Amino acid sequence: LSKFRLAALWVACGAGGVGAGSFSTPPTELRFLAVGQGDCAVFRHAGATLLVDAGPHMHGYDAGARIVLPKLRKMGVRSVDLIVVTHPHADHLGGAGSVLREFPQARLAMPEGFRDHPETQAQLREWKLPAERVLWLGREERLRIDRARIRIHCPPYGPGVSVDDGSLFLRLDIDGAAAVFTGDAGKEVETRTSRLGDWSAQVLQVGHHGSRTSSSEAWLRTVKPEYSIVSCGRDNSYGHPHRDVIETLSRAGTKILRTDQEGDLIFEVRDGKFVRRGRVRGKGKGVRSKE
Amino acid sequence: MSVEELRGRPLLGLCAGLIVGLTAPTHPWHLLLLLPIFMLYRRVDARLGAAAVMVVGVLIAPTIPKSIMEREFLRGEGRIASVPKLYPEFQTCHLDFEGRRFTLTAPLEPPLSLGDRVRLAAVARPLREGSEPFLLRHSVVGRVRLEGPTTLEVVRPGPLPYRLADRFRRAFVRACGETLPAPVAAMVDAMCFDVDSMLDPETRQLLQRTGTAHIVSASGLHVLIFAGAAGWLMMLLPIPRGGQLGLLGLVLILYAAAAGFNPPVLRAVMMAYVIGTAYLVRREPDLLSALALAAILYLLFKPSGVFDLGFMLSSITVAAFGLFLSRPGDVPRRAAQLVGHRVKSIAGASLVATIATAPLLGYAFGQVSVVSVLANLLVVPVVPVIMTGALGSFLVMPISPSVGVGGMTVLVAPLVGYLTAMLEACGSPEWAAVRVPAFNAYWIPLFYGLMLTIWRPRVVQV
Repeated sequence: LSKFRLAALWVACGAGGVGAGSFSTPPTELRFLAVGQGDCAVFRHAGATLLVDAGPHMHGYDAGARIVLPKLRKMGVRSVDLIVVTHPHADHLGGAGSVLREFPQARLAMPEGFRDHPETQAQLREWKLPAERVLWLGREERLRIDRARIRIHCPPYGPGVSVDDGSLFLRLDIDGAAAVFTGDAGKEVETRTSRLGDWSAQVLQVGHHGSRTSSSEAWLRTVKPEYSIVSCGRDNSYGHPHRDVIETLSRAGTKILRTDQEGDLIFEVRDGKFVRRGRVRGKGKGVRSKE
Repeated sequence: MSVEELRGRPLLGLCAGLIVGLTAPTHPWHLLLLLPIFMLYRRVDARLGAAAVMVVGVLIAPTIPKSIMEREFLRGEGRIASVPKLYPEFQTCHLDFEGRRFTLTAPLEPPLSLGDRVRLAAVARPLREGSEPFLLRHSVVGRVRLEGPTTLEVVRPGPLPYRLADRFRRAFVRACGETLPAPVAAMVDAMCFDVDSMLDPETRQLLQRTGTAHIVSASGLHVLIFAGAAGWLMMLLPIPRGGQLGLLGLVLILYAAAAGFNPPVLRAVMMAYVIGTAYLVRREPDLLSALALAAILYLLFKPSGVFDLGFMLSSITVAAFGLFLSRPGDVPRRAAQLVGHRVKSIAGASLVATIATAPLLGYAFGQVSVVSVLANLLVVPVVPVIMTGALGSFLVMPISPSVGVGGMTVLVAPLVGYLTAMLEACGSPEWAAVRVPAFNAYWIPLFYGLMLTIWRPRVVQV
């Protein structure tokens, strides 16, 4: 081969590779990332990427940089469009700093009630992110990404209400498959919110990493989840998930999946249902899910 | 491309066969790569050799263990399995305990060294989610952290050379800490002995954005500088050339131990041995064959190194130097021409290294520096001066403290200041590094395959 032809072949391969990557649409999926003691879920649909919480940044350990970004990269995510933060605690909001640094075009969305909260203010200052750049969410919000519909309910937050109880509720619905996120909201807020419309979902992210302050039986009856996702750190000092919660979930007949034991949990939408895929690493054995 | 040039280097075929074998258990289709190796090497003995090392590779291929999932209490004796990394308040290393490997985080006292037999009573915890993939690849299944009054005791010290090297490194780090401002000391520690734990995140970011991270990660460059300085000192000794080389080899082993036995240093020291041996037996050393032999020895010694990014980057850079750098011509005598000659050679080496490592860096870190050639041109010339200046000042300190401290503060500190200023100037602009979108890892061998096809045989003879 002449040098010219080799160079042409080289350029063609490169262009082909970049082209193939640019024009392929990533599959619709919902992925709960194993970020340690915190929450981060990634929803991809129609070329858009939405994060619900961004992982912890605590005790000098930034899961946003160490875990979330490398995983997003491995997933082939080229841009993040929206980061919805349930509440401004470091195990939910902390990792957003690194994600925003890597994807500066991403918008941060938070409940309006937390606008003046000291932790929010401190984080925004640290990230040099003007409050005007944040999408402050009102009591009821609805978003749409192509066929996916997102409903957000922000419980009232103010004096006398804990930050946990100010966590937003988010229901994601695509082609009839639904998932619900509740941040760290407590049982009382769950009960109040359960009266506000349809919260039934096939996938539920268990509130407050499986703490006994969340996941009331009434709430589980409302959601009726097929899968309950507990996002917690391995060997965490809080003892999450609590034994009582595991029992409550078991009684509700839902399948309990834990990020500390199984790593990332991935769901695809097929025939109007979330179908789990990927490696299961429970009890140290690698098997492929057939669900 | 001259195929004969490759055929004349059977060690390259053996090395490729070993890599195929080591990676085949996790990526079985890699076995197909034996076909091009067989097509290239037509001699039966070369083919048999490649096939044999491939089988050896499969047999010793690293297996990825599983992390422990619950706390375990460890009581008994274990062995320190890596050179400890030093932090301001603690040290971390690998601990082999009853057939499993853990990371051990312990107070600075007692000082630990590779090969020490220790007795401990401690709780082992599961690996954290973020570090798990990396640590499992190094066979680590859990973490042990000792805090407060130690429950750790050295019952039998490791080999003397390792202890000597460790003591030298700790004394050097202490001396730098006492004589230099903290950020300068952090940079000098990292440059001389790979003690990079004190570098702040901003500096790390700048090093990455300017493509100069290699200066703070002990590698071939450092071994070359160290060997050059030590070799010059040995020439002053009234002993035969062979003896000087033997002594230099010993000193290099001690340096590798002090620098943490990291893969690039080991690779460089092994290459130095191969090239030194060639010199002793009056054979003309060949860079590519020396690299292949060093890689084979290293991978037989540590099979998991085949997945080590540092080893890959270091080997690929040296291979690219061997393939693409022009043979150095006569060194000009006039000062201006000499400067021009040096600038040209550093820029050439930097350009080759940048192009050769770009796919791997882009894949691993998602960014590639575009100011790498300029930054290396500005930074690399002062690295030998800083290294030799700092090591020389440290060695002089026991004899003449004022001269030692003077060397550190008058020579080393300003040069590190210059280096930091250059890094900031080159790495601060937004465009200093370009983001690389995620891509499939199999583009990387394709890139290197194509790179090989445009090779013109101009191999550097050392």
